[in-house]
Amino acid sequence: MSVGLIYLIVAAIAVALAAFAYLKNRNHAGKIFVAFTLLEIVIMAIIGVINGVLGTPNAMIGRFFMTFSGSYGFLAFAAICGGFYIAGPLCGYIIRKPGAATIAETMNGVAQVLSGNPNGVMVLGAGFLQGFMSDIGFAFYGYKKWTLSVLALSGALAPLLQQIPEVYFFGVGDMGISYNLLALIIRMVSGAVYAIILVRPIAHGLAKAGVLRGTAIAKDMAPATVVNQPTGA
Amino acid sequence: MSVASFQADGGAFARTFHSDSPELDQNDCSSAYDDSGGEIGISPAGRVVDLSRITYTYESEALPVLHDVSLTVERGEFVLILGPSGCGKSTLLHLMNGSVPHLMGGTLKGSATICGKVVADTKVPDFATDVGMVFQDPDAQIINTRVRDEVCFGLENLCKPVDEIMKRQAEALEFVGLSDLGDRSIFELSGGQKQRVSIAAVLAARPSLLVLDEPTANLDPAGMAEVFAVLARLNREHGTTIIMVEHRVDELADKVSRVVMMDRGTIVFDGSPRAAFSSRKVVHSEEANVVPTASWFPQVSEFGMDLAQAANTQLRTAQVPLSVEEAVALCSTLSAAPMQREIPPETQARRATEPLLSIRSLSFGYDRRAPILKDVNFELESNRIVALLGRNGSGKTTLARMLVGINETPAGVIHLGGKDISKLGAREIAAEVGYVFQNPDHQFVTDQVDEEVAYGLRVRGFADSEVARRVEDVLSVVDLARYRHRSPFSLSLGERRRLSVATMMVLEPRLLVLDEPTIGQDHERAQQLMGLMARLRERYSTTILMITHDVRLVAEWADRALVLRSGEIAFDGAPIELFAQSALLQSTGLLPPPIYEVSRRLSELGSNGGLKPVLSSQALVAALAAASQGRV
Amino acid sequence: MRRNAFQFRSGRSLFHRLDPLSKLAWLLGVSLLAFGAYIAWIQIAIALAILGTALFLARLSPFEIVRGTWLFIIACLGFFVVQSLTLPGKTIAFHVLSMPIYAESADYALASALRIYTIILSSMVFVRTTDPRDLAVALVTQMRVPYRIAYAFFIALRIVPTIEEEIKIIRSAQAVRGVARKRGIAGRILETKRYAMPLLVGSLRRASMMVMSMEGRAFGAYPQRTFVDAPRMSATGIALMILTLAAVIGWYTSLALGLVHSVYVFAPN
Repeated sequence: MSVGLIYLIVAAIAVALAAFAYLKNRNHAGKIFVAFTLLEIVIMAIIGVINGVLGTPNAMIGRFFMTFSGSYGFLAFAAICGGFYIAGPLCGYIIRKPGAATIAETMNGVAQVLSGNPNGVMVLGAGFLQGFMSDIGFAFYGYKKWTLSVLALSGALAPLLQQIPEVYFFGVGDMGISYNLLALIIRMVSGAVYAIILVRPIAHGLAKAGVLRGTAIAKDMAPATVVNQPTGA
Repeated sequence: MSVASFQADGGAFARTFHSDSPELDQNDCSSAYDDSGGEIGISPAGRVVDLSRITYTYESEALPVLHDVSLTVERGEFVLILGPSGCGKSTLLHLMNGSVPHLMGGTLKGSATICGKVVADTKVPDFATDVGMVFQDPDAQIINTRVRDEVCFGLENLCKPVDEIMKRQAEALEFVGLSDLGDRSIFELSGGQKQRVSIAAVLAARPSLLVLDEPTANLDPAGMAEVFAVLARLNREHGTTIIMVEHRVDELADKVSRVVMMDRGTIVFDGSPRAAFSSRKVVHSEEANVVPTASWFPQVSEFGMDLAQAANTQLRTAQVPLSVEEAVALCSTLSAAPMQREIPPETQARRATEPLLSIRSLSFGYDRRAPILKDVNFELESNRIVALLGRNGSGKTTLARMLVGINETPAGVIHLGGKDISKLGAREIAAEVGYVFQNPDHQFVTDQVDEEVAYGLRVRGFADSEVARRVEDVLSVVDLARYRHRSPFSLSLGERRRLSVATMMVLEPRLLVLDEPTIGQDHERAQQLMGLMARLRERYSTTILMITHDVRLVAEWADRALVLRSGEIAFDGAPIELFAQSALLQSTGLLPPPIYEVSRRLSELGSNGGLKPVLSSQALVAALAAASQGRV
Repeated sequence: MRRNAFQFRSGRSLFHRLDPLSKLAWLLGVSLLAFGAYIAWIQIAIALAILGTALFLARLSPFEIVRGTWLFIIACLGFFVVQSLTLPGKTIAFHVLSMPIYAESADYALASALRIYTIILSSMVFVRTTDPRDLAVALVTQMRVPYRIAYAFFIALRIVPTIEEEIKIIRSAQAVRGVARKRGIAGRILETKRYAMPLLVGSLRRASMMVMSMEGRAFGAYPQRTFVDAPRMSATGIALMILTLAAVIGWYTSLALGLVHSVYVFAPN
């Protein structure tokens, strides 16, 4: 079995998951695509861009890893990859509509290109794939369940498709099946860990600061818990 | 496509709005209705705003932010809304084009009709030809990068034909005096120019109502004057109705036709400016502290009241001065009567102090051709409040940042307590110098108010008991002890500013630098903050170096003023001497405080027995009283 | 404040006058070429072509190029030196301090270092010469993207410089507070939050203003909107796209046919 075949299987799994999520939502909600309000579009753009601008130095670090520690570099880089996937689960968690993670991560890609990611326009595609798979994680639960485990799933799914083109760009396709699978698993764990640790504290912190007014999460935070918030007037 | 769902209970006329309303009108461009300058839709009486018994609650909040508010505004009025932060004045403005409730969600009760359109049934974009909205922060509201694109933006959304767009954008740019800058990038503009672009951008759609939320809060005095001049002309020449929230009453009092005061979600005063500034009332701040409305009065009106009190009379409403000229005229009518003489509190001489910081021929710049600082020399002593003034871009912030080692400092130029600052580490500098950034959010590093204050101490390895003691102490000084478990980001702007001061204060620095600490705050908040600074000075002999544009605060609180003009120190001395140099003020875009102007003109009249210019209303009243007694 | 190198600046160069989609196609083509080549000579050729484009077609001054990319120049030099020294090879080209430098390693190292620089430089040329607005407009008028989504791109492009500026301010603002390193993996990850929170809070506070400003000016009133001077694809743009496409197809065909091949046969890292 070659590495190419393995990735073909991974891609097939990802597509199957997407199809499954699609069917599941079609049966339940009836509406697959809900239009975004302008506020939500702006929030996705902002979160994506901030993730991108903060993430670009990490991409540089990844480059250094790969140069100075040879074949272990790609694995070491995989461990911090979760940082790139955060915008997806975060936006999904805040906006709670299909497509939020996809758009946010695509904006993440846009911002990385602009702030000088060493991998150039390729990160645009990577952003889209990451976000798309993060969305699938939420779609499994019909965009209705918002526990830590769903967030972890969303973070863990992110690298599934995204790793495939990257492997060929960085030339680690020749490193063997176990190496590539290990990299994928590290990325998935990293995605899940980042999502678990960061998404909820950030989202709730923002909601408490009163800057998420008009989004699903703000509606979800019970009035009782935020009685004495400043009005921001 | 209904986004408003009637609440089932009780049949009340309350509606809950869900902000996730997706697509708006399904009309095509071809069916765009014709609007001819916003004339259509205004009720016959020319009533632009008609609010009746409005109560509004934000989504996820329990208490309403507007409570039973009724307000009508006729065509051609110029309304100034005043109120402490948190009183709901911004929310009221956002109601004027349906942003509340359509964008913000929440529950709206009562009836609101703006320019003949019912707010509850009209989407925000459909108000574009009736209502223009301008906000405080140019960076948030300017969407495009080129001036002309920004002005065209609204017209493009309205599906206007290209030639009409070009004609209207040219008119709008000309009106605000920016015809030459159409092709500039907005990044190259000054703050005042940016706000004029924002005004032009909404004027292009020819609205009949212009709504502005603190449009000059981020501007220097020169920029503020530009914006106010455009607004006054718009109101006068085109009869555009203007509703504005703004703290800078000194410059506005004689331009507006009506003043509305708000307190905790209700309207507590509505009338002419003279009536508004004729008597003192109290309202409540966000934290339920009592705030005297007098703190938003123009300084000349405040002086009018003080003077009347000293002369034992009551000012008639028509007598309330709104400008320097009127105040001077009032003096000649009132000071004929004998006046009570109140001894003004002696300004105590500050005790002798040791030098804290010295700067010797400091020059700095990223680009050799355009130095930011040129041969700056001064010394700071301890136990002082020093104001650093100058136009935006004159190098104030750069200079201030050199003092904390954020910008690398050339060797042997800045000495802190005798030591060369360029040789000190960040931690050694931070032990002596605190720096409060303009945006307090930028400096928060923890999730809880008390942790935030303790942070600096913990990093420096203080013992837990000492940390607890100092945190308690400082929290009570800045009056934030009751929020100790809240997230710093969830506090109001005034509270966040005090918290960021507290995080620096707790380290007991010898020098505290504040970058525009009173921006976006009303005079009362600014006074509170300066009171805190004065306490800090007494308690720790700290010297406060404060970058500011607020000459009234400088006059009232500063021991010394430094003025930067294109990177050079143009003035260094007592505030009262600064205001005497009119050429200097002009070239640095500063205006003397109104009370100084009044006293200067009185002294020039010469009928007041050697009256000298002063900086406070009380001092001027006392001087006038002395003069009147001298005459008797 | 210093202006960011990765930020649109208006100008009159050939690249400024090109429509955004042609330039986007060019950028994609350059990236594909750079990624597909592991041989030094072709990377040198691509890098020189891009440098020429930057200097003459986009009229960037050498000073600006160096200022915008100095960090990458240092990084690329680092990659080159380290990879030349450490990668295995066969043919000894010369010795440095009695360490053998292999021709194959040096060739490969030079190719991978230049690849990074090429991509950075081409991104810089694109960003510096393309008004974000024009790109968003082109997406709507030429690619039929719904304008609400295109404006998401537009807003993202618009706020990148603002966010970058704000990060710098936050760094110095927090440096004044002192730094306490957190322990453990979770602690390290949470440290990200320290920068992220002020950035997010500040930007999101502005978000609702941005929305009010846009909708208050009739954004979203109709399914279509007018675009004043929408960019049009010029003959030059089409020529550039054809040239780029030909280069990409030519290169990958030669690779597939075995006309060119990497001299570096040792397992790449």
